[in-house]
Amino acid sequence: MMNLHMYIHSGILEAYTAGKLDTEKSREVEEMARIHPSVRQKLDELSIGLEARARSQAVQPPKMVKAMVMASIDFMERRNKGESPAHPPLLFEGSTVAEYDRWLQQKEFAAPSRIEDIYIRIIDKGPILTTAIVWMTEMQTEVHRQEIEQFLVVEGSCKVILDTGTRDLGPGDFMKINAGVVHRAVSNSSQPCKVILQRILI
Amino acid sequence: MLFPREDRQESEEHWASLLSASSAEAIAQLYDHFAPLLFGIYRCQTTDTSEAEGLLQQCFINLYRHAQGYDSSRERVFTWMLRTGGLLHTTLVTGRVSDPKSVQP
Repeated sequence: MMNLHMYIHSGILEAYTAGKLDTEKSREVEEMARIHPSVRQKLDELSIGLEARARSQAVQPPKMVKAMVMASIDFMERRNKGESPAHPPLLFEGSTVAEYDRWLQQKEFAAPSRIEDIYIRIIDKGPILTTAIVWMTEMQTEVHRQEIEQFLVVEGSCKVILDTGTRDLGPGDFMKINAGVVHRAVSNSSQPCKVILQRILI
Repeated sequence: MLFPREDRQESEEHWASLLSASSAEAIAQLYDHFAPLLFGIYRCQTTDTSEAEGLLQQCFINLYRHAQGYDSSRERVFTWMLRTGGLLHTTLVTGRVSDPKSVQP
């Protein structure tokens, strides 16, 4: 076994931080860091350097991503507490808001007191189909490579902007956006536009 | 090499305590602070913004799921996030993905 100074300067810690070591070698480094404070200190210095570099290249993600993360966590927590799986019907041209009353009327799916551009409550999420209630004032440009997105307006109104033109939607209106189609939306009502939204993996 | 200042140390403790709490509110705060860093990395790793968005979303769901496994005595929050989020660290080291096939899903 080489001495500690040589170990720290051998380059193995850089390789670990860069994710280049296999599991066994990684465990070894972690064990060394646990036993020797100087190894841990060197790893922390490398990590701080990486974090500073990441900060210099940081990019603000669209707000939709955080909304989906928070909605997914909320959904997992509800399921963990014993909420039974729901089976909302698939949306299609001709769907009515009444078909979703069962969920729309529940207090768990009441509007939030304030929203930051977009707020999502997931009704059900499976491997193929996700159904959610969404309140939005603005949805930044997005495109889904492997999902069809479709929605039914419940309350309020919005304008959906595609490359090929725009569409104004009000309560009861349905719209389907195919995979690969660039789109964004803005509410044009005083209240956030509330929709039933589905994403279907293709 | 940057060395930790007082405030960095304090915030590292703050992020570590949030991660250990692993509540929805804690994850929201971690997201606000770390998501732009991770999104920048994903953008470097992918050619498609929607793919980067999907990876970022899955990353934070994974962080929430595995937060109980975080041990602040072992590593910094950012190191743990990179590992748990399945990020290819070499992007940060080299500034590019040298071997796209080595990116873990």
